[in-house]
Amino acid sequence: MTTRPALELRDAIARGDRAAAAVCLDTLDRIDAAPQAWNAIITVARERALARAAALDAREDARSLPLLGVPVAVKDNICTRGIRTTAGSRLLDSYVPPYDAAVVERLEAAGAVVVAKTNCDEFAMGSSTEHSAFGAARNPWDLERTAGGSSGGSAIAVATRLVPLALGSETGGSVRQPAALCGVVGLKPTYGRISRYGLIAFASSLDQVGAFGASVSDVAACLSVLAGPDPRDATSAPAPVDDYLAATTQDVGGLRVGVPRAIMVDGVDDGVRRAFEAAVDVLRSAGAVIEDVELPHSRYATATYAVIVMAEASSNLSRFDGVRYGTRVEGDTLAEMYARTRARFGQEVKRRIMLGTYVLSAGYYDAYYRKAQQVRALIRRDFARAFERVDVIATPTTPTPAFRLGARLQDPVQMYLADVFTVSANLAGIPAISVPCGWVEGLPVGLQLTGPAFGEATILRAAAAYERKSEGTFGPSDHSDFRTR
Amino acid sequence: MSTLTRRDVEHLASLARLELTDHETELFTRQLGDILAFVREIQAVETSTLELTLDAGARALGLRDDAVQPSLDRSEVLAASPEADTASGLFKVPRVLNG
Repeated sequence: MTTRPALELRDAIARGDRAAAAVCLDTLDRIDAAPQAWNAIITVARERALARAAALDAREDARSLPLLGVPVAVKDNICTRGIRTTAGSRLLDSYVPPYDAAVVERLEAAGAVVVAKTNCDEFAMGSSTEHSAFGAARNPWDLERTAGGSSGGSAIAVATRLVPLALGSETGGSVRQPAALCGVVGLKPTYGRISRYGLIAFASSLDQVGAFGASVSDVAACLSVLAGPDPRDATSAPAPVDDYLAATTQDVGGLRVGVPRAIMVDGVDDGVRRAFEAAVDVLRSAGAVIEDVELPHSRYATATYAVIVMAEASSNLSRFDGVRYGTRVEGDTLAEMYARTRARFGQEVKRRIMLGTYVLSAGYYDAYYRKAQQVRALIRRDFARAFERVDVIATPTTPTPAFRLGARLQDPVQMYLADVFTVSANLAGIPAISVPCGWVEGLPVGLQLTGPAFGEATILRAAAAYERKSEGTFGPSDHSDFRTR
Repeated sequence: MSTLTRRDVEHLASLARLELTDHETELFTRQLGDILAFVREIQAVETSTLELTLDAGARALGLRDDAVQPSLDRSEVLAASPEADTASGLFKVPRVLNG
């Protein structure tokens, strides 16, 4: 049977076999005892979590809650009332939000217990969790390598079973890429599927909350809780919320799976390619019909993404000016105070603000920002055409296994290319999931399944079928224990 | 299109209200040029027949009634700011106008 730690834990608490408070305490102790080298956690919400768990144990009517007593870690760019929320930045290193993000409210209403805030690249800008003011996170399978990013801390927390579920956020692959590199399941839903109220904004036409779990069914259960409209986020969509958990029990007989082989030509590691082809064979043997598809503009996705993300970041981050929240560095004038305060941004954030300012400035706007919006429309159209012929599209999640820490820090373009297979889904606003599909030289890699807008049930169905069929052919048992020092 | 000069970088930093160190100015002069060279590949894409929609494919957003609704507690919001005058309910900033 596929492991489903979150749902098993929930069932055990609902049956009365375990108390939510005991589960919470056990989780907090394991977080405290976790090797510092992983650096997955920025803040532990001990008191809030214990109070919350005790309140669940005291409630008579809690047994039906879908995530009853399930400990959840939350990326530190998602606001938690009374719990420091840093977004991995020195500018917010002592910021305590006066409100909970919509996703935190929804998790807690479903019985989940937020236990910790996880490490991430500053304002979610990065693909390695090295651009964090709280230090780099490390891959638990090889401490000299990245856990991926920007939601690296959440991926590590689930991979090492500190928690069964975690929230991340996605702008260009920040859930799927670390999920693949750490060996867990990571989902980016459709743009608008989940409210972003309380998610610290990075690039607003791309940002979306996502979830990590050890199994597809755990992630499906989490999505069921998070999905749905919210009047506080005008981009959240009223589209019906499907029964995602039920979708994970269906088979894939006749499901049409498109493979865009033309985009997998350059820069893809041989081991990743072999793992991917083996995964496609598993889907085929499960009854799926494999077809070639073309995504002719995907080769421009990384560059298109870079222009749009920088433009939107430079605009969004203007709010960090030392006036309403976070750190202020004094100056004699308002302008001086702004510039000195914003000097505390890390290098990657500054780089993106600078480039965003450039591509939006008079004289360059048409050549960069307007052009990128046009190419984005073509990328979106490619997917719309492909989904007339297939139900899901399969690719590797990343072109390589986890790269060495520091290897790409001095070369931003190489860092951006880590997201070459993931950014397209954000540009097109469509859902995609990464599910572990094997090991390359001792490092996990992922299979990415992408679906049409609001097609989460279909990609969860395909991912779960793959997970069932591939079980036992690889997994943590192929590997020695996590590296801890 | 030429690469960026040090003066370009200093000008951008002042537009973005960012104080940069000398090292950052030097680093960005090189790196921003490299990144712009990389993203310039999109300029080869044929888009002349395309009608530009700024957020292509986005759904029409719902509108809410223009009515006063509960919001965050003012004193809690002010408490999270670097400097505020809680009694008058205002954020405080350095002098903006001289005289």
